Formats: sequence, structure tokens, C-alpha cells
Amino acid sequence: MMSSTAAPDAGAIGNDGRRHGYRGYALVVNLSTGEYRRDPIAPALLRAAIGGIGLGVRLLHRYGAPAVDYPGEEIDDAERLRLLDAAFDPDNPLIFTTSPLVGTRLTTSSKFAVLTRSPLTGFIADGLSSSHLAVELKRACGDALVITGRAAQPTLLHIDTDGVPHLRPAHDLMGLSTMDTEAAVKARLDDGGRRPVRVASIGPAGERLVRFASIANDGGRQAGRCGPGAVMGSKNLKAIAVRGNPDDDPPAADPEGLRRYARDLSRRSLGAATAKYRELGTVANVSVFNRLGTLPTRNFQQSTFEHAEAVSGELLHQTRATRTAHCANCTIGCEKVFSVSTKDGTGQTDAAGVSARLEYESLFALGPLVGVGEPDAVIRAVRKCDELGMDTISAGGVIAWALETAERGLLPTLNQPHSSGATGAADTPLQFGDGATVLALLDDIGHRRGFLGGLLADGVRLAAARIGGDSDDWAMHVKGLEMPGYEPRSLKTMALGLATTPRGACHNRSSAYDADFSPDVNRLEVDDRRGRIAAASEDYSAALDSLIWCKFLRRAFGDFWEESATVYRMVTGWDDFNADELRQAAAQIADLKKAYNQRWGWRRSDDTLPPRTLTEPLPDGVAAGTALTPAELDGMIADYYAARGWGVNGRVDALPLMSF
Amino acid sequence: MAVGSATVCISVELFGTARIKAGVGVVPLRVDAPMTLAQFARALAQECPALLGNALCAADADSNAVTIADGYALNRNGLDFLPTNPICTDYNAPLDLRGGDVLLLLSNQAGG
Ligand code: SF4
Repeated sequence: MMSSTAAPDAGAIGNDGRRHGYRGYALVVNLSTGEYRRDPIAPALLRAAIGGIGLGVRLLHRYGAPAVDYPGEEIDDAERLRLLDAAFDPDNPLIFTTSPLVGTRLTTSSKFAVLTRSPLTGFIADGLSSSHLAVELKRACGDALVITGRAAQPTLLHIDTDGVPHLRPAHDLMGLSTMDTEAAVKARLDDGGRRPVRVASIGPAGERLVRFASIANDGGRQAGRCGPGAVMGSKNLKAIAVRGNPDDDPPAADPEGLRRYARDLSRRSLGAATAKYRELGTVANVSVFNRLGTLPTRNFQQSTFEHAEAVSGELLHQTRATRTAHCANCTIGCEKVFSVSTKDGTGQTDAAGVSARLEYESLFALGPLVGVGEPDAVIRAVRKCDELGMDTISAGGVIAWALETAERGLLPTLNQPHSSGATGAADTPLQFGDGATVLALLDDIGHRRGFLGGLLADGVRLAAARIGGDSDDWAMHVKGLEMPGYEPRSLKTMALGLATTPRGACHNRSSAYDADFSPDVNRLEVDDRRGRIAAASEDYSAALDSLIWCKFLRRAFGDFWEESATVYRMVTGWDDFNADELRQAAAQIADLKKAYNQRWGWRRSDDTLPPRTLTEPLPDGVAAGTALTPAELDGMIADYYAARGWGVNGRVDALPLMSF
Repeated sequence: MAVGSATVCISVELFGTARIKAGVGVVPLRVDAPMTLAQFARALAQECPALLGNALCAADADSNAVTIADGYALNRNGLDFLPTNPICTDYNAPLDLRGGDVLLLLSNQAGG
């Protein structure tokens, strides 16, 4: 590739005059022209952004296509679709950012963020993923890798220790699963003896622009939500292979202090504060959520599942758990790998040895949400999503919608002629609870095969718009992003978080549910504290996601803000950085995300919840009869805007530091 | 039985590792009501010693007092979460329990 600018040698300069923590530049690759350059990032901006999501949202503003703001104007369906499809334009950047903590020995810090504009929501897509790729990205690409343009042919972007990107043909990789792509790229670039390249790739779903396609890395970890894999596919980019030079790791300003702190934090990470994640993993949520009446079931028609016990973390652990996996540099190891059984309870794998990493969201979405209570069926479905490269939550969400829509007669149930002109997937009866149906539909969606595959590959919002009738009423999404496994009617603080989070129905960029699972609030009622609680939770997550710490570490901190500021000082050498500055940086991230969404047509009406959650009381479980009214939600949203200082229209007018 | 108190039957539902360690999902308890959180924790430890060192722990080395372990939460009837953090919770304050109540012993790590 041709370089158009020389590499800057300046990084983030600590108070001692040396470069610490950051590389001080972003590698920018244009797939259309084959050019690359290294754009310096000013130290002041790095400090204001921190890294991860905080840096990524600024880069998204900087490298993103110019967009129109729509103050006061209505956006009709055609314009909305145009805005969604514009995410596939070559000038929509795909951005990977690392953080100052990447490359240190701090537990759970080997993480990176992926940002782009989502083809599912039309708004910001900001995801995280983990492991070795984070370390190699920082070595080879600097603080960020910004990919623009569209390659003329299927392409592998290869960046090796010299930091020079190469565009290599990838015809032979097309159609491969994410796992097979990673293996093939590693085999191709293996030079015998040196450290392996680390790979990010898309599967068949990303190639076919399934709007909720994910990007996989390091053996099945996913930047899953909002369709970054579809954006990667739209760029004709099948995979990215990275191997940096360890000598390029920026040294910490206080290596001895950092070593001591890292040891202490690792010790704490093995205590009670992370026990659930270490022992059973997040699948432990199923039985708890079921008991608390907050396990969304059959497309949110119920909040308890009669087969919850069969797919509970406790039972899975005893019958199907095979091993624990860790992200690089993590002492917790929340990833539990489960295998299908030949006989229930034996724990033996079948001949095919199908196994999958299960976490709560995948388990909920491809289990209770679609009415499936058979653990092997769920394991196979999750594995299928991972192979195809699809977000499990959105996949389960859109299938759940299809099953209910078929039940209500608006979709064919089995190859029957239908007034909509639709035909069903071959031999696929559409009914809740059938694992084979779910598996077949996943395959159809991932390949955009047949009417249903194509319909559902666009996500639940567009599918409902296309089928019409009242099917919008049970399309469970916020801003176009399918709902995660938290029932908003019985988790009122989380309801607010889901309604207002910039990337849509998201449980990661805000952990407002923490309050609902505590003595601090009554989770079944609303009050005027929720706006402040949700904003504070979002800021807390923004700090975690920018530094970047794993959120499962969060209870292991004493005073999170003070500790994180101390660590930041030890890494960067900016000795005057303090907890208040970190809080300010975190709060600015919400402003920057909102401002980005405003450029792409955000309306006040986008901050809401699906009609079902605002019109139907919960029918079952301990919270039976509990409802959330539109007025209650609006009141909480107004409190949230006030807590953010955004005024009644929810818009942000002034942007924080953006000078690069 | 203390003056003014009555014996009531409650049950404790176990979740996560606590359930696996105990080998049961539900522990029935006959307890005096009213009772304190400390009395409840001790009664549960007596009925289900497998929980000690896991969901329950000794409050100090010198007594047989028991607390809910850090990392665990207590919920009444699937509705209210009860304060259990030993640092900021008065374990000698009365616990409002009635016959038939169900206490859920679960991880306090809600995320996923
Ligand atoms: S706790 Fe889990 S997600 Fe977090 S870094 Fe460790 S293995 Fe990865």
C-alpha cells in the first residue's frame, strides 16, 4: 500500500517528557485507494478521550461521513431507510480503538472497541471485544485503526510488525465460517516460529450484509451488537490479520507501582466480587431472572419460562460444561464452554463434538425468548450464530418476532401460500419451542436464503415495517436494536437505560439494572431518582469502556474513580490527572454519542421502548400485573435529560474537546 | 421461644454455586419470628452447613456469628432486596418475616 504521510514519532507525552500509555497516532487505511497514513492524535485529546469508546466516538465524529442534522424535521420511512443504508457507504468508517491499559499486565485489560455507524439502527455502533488482538492492534496500528473506503475485491487486510498495511486477495476465504476464516488466515500467514497473527473476521452473515452481523476474533469472541460485521462486509473486507512488535509497547510511567497494583487487583479479582462470573459464568442469570419475573420469554409475552430449570446455569454446569476460557490477561475467566450431550446428564459430547461458549444473553435469546427449553438445541443455535458471525441477541429477537407473527397469521407457518406473497423456509414450521426451526432459520438468515432469511436478516424493525399489520406492536427493539434479556416492566431503572442508551436496546453501555437488583430502589415502581441513577450508571460504564476494564471486574474496585485515576497516572505519567477529570471525561462521552446520533436523524421519539412493554402488564411470575405506562417512562426520560443537562428536548448543543 | 414471638415456617431458595454446593434448591426452615438477620444466617448455616465458606461466612473468629458472604444478596419473596453487606448492615436489626415467606439467596453480581 502507498503511504501518503510519514509516521509521526510523537505519542502522548507524560509530564516527564516521555511517551507513555499511548502510541499517539491512528493508522488510517483507505480500502478504495489502497493508501494509508498515520494521523497523529494530540496528547490533550487522548487525555480527554481516555481510549476505547471515548476515543472511538471522537474518531467517529472526525472520520465519519458528513451528515445532515434534522432539527425539528420529521423523518419518513423512506428517509429512515436511506439513512440506514448509508451505513453501507464506503465513507462510513470502521474504527478499532485500544486503550492506555492495553499491553499492561492489568487483569481484564486486553480489550478493544469497535465503532461504526450501524446499518441496524442508523446510529452509533460501539462495541467491545477482547483478547490478544487488542495487544497486537496497539503494537501494529497505534491507538486506533481506521478503515475507510471499499475494496474492489474480497480482501484480507494484513498488518505486520513494520506497521505497513497490505491488502491481500481473500477469494479463497469467502463463505467460510468465522472460525475457519481465522484458522485459514493463520495458516496462510504462519511463518514458522514467530508469534501468530491475530485475526478479526466476518462469517457468511457479514459477507451478505445481515444487519446484525458481528466481527469475531481470537477463537470466537465477538463485537456483536449493531452490525459492525455487516459494515466490514460492505467494505469487501473478509478479515484483518495483525501482528505487532512487542518492542513498540509504550512503557508505563511508573512500572513498579503498576506491577504492585496489578498484583493486588488480580488478587481481588479472585474474590467474592467476581465469584458468579468465575464459577458458573453469566448463564447463572437464567434461574434468578426467572424467579424474579424478568426473564423475557416467547418474544416478551411472558417474564417466566416453564423450562427455565432445564436451561439454567446450574444444570448446564453440572451436565454440559467442558471448560473455562479466558480472554488474554484475564484472571476471572467468565467464559464457560458447553458441549451437547449424547445422553442427558452424561456430559459426553456427540460425534460432531458441537460446543459453544454460552453466556446469559445468548442463552436467553436462543432459549426462552424463542421458547426453546432443550439445552442441546440452544448450544447448537449459539454455535451456528458464532460460525455465521451473527449477534445472538438480535438473531433470537428477530426469530421470536417471526414466530409470534406466524402465530398471528401474518407469516406462513410452513410452505403455505400466504397473502403476503411470502413462503416459509423449507420444512420449517414456525412455532415457539422448536429448536430445529430456530437452527434452520439461523442458517437461512446468515445466508439471506429464501423469503424469511432475507426478511429477518434486516432486523426486526425493518421486517415488521415490511410485513405490516400490527406486527410493529410486538417488534421488540429500541432504535432498531433488538432487546437484550432484561424485562423492562419489572426492572424500571433498566427500562430507562434501555430507552435512552444511544446504541439502542443495550445492556452493556449502561448497567442501570445494578440498581434494580439492589435494596436501593423498588424495581417494580418508578420514582424521580431514576434519571440520575441511569446517567450515573452510563457514565460509570463509559469510564470502564474507555480505560478499558472488563465490566465483570467492577465490584472488585474499592473507589472505582480514585483507583482508575491512580492507574491512569501510573500508566501515562500525567501526574495531575484525578478522579474528577475521569468523571468529566466519562460524562462527555454521553454528549458525544448523542451529538453523533443527532447528525443522523435522532428524534426525541427514538428514546422509547417497544409498544408491548408500554401497553401490556406482565402476565406471570412474581411481578404479574406490573406495567410501565408511557407517562411513567416519559417522566423518567425527562429526569434523565435533566441529569445530563440536555434540556427538555434531549438534545446536546455544545461539544467537548474535539481538536485532534 | 422469646416472649411475643412465634415459630414460623419459611423457606430459602438457593441459586448459583450455593445451590450446587448445598445439593438442594430449597432449604425449609422453622424459625422464630421476629428474628434478626444474624439469627437467620445462623439458622441457615445450621440447617445447611455446606453453605458455610460459600454463601455464608463466619462473622469473626471468636464467635459463632454468621453473615451473608460478600458477593451474595438476599431477596424476600422475589420482590425486595434486603441489605446484607456486613460493613453497612445492622445484623441485629429485626428482619420482617412471616410464615410462608421465601428468601432467595443469590449472587449480587447482576450483570450479563
Ligand atoms: S471476565 Fe470474561 S469477558 Fe471479562 S476479560 Fe475475563 S474472560 Fe473476558
